[in-house]
Amino acid sequence: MKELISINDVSFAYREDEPAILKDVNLTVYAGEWLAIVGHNGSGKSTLAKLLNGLLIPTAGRVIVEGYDTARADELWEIRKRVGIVFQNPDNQFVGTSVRDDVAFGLENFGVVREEMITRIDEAVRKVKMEKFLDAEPHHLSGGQKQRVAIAGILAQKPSIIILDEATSMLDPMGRKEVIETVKALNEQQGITVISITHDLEEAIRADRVIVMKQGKAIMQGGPEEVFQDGEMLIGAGLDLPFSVKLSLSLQKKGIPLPKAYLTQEELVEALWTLS
Amino acid sequence: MLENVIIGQYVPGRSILHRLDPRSKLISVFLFVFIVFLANNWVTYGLLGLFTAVAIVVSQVPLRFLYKGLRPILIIVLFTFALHIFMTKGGALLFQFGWLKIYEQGVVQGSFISFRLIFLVLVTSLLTLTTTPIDITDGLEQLLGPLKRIKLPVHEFALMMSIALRFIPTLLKETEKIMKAQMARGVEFTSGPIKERIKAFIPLLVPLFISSFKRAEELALAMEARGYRGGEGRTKLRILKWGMGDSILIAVLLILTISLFLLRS
Amino acid sequence: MDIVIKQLTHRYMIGTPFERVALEDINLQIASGTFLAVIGHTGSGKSTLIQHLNGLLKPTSGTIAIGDQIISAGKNNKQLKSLRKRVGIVFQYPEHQLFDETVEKDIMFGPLNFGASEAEAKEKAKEMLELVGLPLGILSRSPFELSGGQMRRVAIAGVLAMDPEVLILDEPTAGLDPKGRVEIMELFYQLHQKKNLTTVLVTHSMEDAATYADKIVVMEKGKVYMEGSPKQIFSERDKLQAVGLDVPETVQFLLKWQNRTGEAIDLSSFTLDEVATALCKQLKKGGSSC
Repeated sequence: MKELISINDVSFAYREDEPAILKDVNLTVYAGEWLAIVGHNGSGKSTLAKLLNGLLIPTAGRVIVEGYDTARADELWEIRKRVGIVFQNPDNQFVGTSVRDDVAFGLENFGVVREEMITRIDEAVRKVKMEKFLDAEPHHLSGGQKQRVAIAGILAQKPSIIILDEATSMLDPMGRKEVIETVKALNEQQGITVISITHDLEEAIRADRVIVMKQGKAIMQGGPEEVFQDGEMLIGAGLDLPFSVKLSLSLQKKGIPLPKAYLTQEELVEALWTLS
Repeated sequence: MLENVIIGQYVPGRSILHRLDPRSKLISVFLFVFIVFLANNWVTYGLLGLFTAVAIVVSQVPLRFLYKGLRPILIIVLFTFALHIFMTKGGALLFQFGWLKIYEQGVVQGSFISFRLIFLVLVTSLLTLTTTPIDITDGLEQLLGPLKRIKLPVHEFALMMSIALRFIPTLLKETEKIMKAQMARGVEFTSGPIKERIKAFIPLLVPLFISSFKRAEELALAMEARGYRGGEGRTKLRILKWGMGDSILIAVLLILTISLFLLRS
Repeated sequence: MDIVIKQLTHRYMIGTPFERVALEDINLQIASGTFLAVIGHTGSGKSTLIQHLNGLLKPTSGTIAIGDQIISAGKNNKQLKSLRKRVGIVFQYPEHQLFDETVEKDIMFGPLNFGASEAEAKEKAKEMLELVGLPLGILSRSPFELSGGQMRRVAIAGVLAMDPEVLILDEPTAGLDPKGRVEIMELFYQLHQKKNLTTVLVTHSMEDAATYADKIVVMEKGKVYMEGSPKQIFSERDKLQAVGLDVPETVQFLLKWQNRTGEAIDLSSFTLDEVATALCKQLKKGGSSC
């Protein structure tokens, strides 16, 4: 698979005299995958997101995005065109006075000509199903709608990677669903690579790959199937377990001979059915 | 629900005045503020009044909105009128009551000054009533564009304005929320002695400031992530279109100016 | 304190183009000591409803009786302050209301407003800080130096310090990580039992509603859509799904299991442990080792 981002021995500290927030992180992001990064608050996962598009520059090591180095000021703009971030707070990333103006903001920054801008905006808002709200003002939109506008703003820049930096944590269940479904469709139909930094383990289960962060280190990487088997490791990393995994473990403790912990309810039901 | 207040005074509409380029409106208002002072007799004041009246009719803005703009200055208008009526001497004596004397010139001068104030307020109100704040910002940015050459941060100023406009409803909502939270903790914002009431605002203002700083920080980060790096090399989606109407408006203003010069005494 | 709501209607922005009905003809009785969960979508009227319970909003028509105090439309209601002392609200993201120089002063703010002495308020601050699980060492620190989770706890302590008899919680765990969420909910539940509070929890989490509530009210478009015990509410999955809600994960699982086996199983197991035990018993044919 094609490598989009490679992170080599990256460490980061805000100031030299402060303890490092990230320590010797190595990882690769492949084209087209959905990568979930999970970890407790303060594990360094959000810092990692900011390193990926050069909002922060590593104190040691290198972050390479499609061949561009985030540490080189002249390559930063190429990187930001390719990597978009949806942040946590829907209000604090809405720059424009209307949906149309907000989606245009990134395009204006990159000097896209006006005619091209208009077609790209139309296309982008259609992909996030916000075309009926082009002239709406942000205070008349729900949290989920604002996050979809943020996604449209990124899409209009024709990115290769979308990073969700806890983008659903301030939303209600409906908003959360809207945003995840929107991004899922982009990932599957347009092949956009997604890096999702999240607390939501039910979402992490559906990722192609999961990285577990703990105290600035990537302590485990692998498919969800593999990562969520290790319940103790996850709890040690300050995380909760997905419902079906918890139930599997609890049943095992009660002496039900389940061969492993199952990730989804359907799988667990099937496994129990075969046992009975 | 504070979030639904209308920002600025803009009254949505489709009149000719609404559809004009904000630049032509800004230039006209700017010019009008100067030529108002040219008028010094009934004919010239009449011309200004005619212009104002036509503008109001064309704007289709309901009169009550204009009255709302006028109300705060009515007291000043009455005060200056009274001042002139009693202080200016000249012309025929119209009225006498003891030491109080009112002369013809007093009434004339008083009326002139009052009309001047009223015209000024009406015309500037028409600008804000028929132009959205964001259009005014765009207009100003374009008009002041040449000042960039002398290093005036015109783009930054305009961006600041538009972000401020964008965040007003958000901050109002936040204010309402914090007010309620503190009321639930026993703060009374609307009753009690003045000193207590002023003190009551500290628990409102501190959280507001803190959250605004946090917002500013996050917004700056989000803008940077979306490739913002100042005004250079930036294109714009919002464009202003100068039409026939705009040229006509400027022409009318010029004719008005010339007429005032010719007709003033 | 018993709470009785009769024919409560609330309209926003009356007489403007934005006028809209937020609550319509709400009738509810909340017996003293009840843990009530209010669920429903954003905009269903949940938040509007709870703000009536301590007079932050006043009814357009109808009445709310809280103990012996009655809030009604039109009347200028004095004694709101004494009502607010008895009914505490923890708003969403309560850390946004912190303002004082030290944690101690911030927690003391409520009690002082309601007439406690300096010494009493200080004592309360200590007590509450311990209650919410924070070290006393932070009393003299600025609340703004704390982590997000700690700030939330300080803000909660500030509400609890008023010793309310009714505690209203508006999505108190929003934005927290899973661990913090469980800790905060457990804290409220213990407090509810220990102090015999009447608790009203507004939540999006069916799991929390199922685990903690004695009674659930489902709001939809400003009206009471369903009302009953968790068992009653969560036995009507179709009705919940009709308005885009669902049963808790535990019930979802049991339903799937029931479908697969074709054997009926008690669907009112709301905790993971109860579900595991029920399954274990069924699999081991009533075995005692479950």
